[in-house]
Amino acid sequence: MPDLEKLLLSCRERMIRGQGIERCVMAENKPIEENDSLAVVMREHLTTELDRHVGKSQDRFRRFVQEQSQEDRPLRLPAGNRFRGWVFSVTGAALAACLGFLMVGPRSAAPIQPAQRPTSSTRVDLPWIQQTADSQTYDGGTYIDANGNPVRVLHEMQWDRTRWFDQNQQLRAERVVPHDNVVYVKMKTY
Amino acid sequence: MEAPNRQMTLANESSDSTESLVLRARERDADAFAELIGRYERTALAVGYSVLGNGENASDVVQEAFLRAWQRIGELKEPARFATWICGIVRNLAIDQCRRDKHRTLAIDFGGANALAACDQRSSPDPLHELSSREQQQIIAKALDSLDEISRPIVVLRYYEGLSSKEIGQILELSPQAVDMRLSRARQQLREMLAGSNAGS
Repeated sequence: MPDLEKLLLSCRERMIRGQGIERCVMAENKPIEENDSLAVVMREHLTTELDRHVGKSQDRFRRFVQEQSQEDRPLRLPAGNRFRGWVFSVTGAALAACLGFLMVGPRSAAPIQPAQRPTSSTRVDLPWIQQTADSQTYDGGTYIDANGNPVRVLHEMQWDRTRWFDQNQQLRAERVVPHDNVVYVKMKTY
Repeated sequence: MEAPNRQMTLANESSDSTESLVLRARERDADAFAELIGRYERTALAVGYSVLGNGENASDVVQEAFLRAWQRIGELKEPARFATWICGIVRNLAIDQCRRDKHRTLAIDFGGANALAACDQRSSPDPLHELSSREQQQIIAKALDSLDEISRPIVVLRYYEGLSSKEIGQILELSPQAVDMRLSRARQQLREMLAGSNAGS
């Protein structure tokens, strides 16, 4: 090995001076074998070019596998867990509907007697309810009715929106009831 | 200079070992496949470099090739021939990249640029030595590029991986005699190129 290193160093020095490798080999009187100057120079060149990339493929593969496993994780849940999501959704929807019914129902019934009102010691957190009504009216144009009278048609769109929120159970529900009313306005003729 | 670390020895290595790793990889055993990568990465890099003439690009291609191999390992009919298979994927990907890359000539001309960058990072105390090293890298890259497409991987596999003619033949699907013949001619050509370059400079 020391001889090879000497040879390589010698080659380098001679190359700097503008001499060729072939001449260098001849000067050293070494047989042209696998360990000749060409082999040494080639090995050094390839090692410099490629050795710093060794290990990158493994790193990238590990990252790839990790990313894949993260992406696939929801799909790999056991059947029980997958089913749990559906059960939770259906139960939540049903519970929200029940709460809505319970809250809206008593209000439409007879008012609560003072004696029945809950005292501060029996405080109950009732679900929060929000009701909104949005409407939009647009002109449908003028028509002649069956009697020959001109009428203006107005389309009235209305959305009754009711939202429930149960703070205790952190449940939220929403019901939207659309209405489409058509109003005919008789027009005066002169 | 030490002899290259031979991670891959097709002849000496028991093919059962590679075979069993491939079989485990088929069962989506990532550790087994990672071991295969460790075993054949240098060979794959050598093949990629012989096509692209650039270490960075070769590394990118090899990484991509191993990912594809992982996804398609079920298509490998003979697990013992994993080396040939992966090198084929690397070669095809590298050729595709060459076709896409219109500026490959530039990459070859500045093949020493990566070595140059590496030299910069190494902070050599001797600028003259560094300069000669850069020039040497460029000259060798050009000389390698002057070889034909079959001889180039033979030379790279021989000198980077230290593979025997038989092993190179198995990877490149050539007979050992053909490998020897091409290697002999390539060595002669390289010697002439390098001697000419040095005389010119």
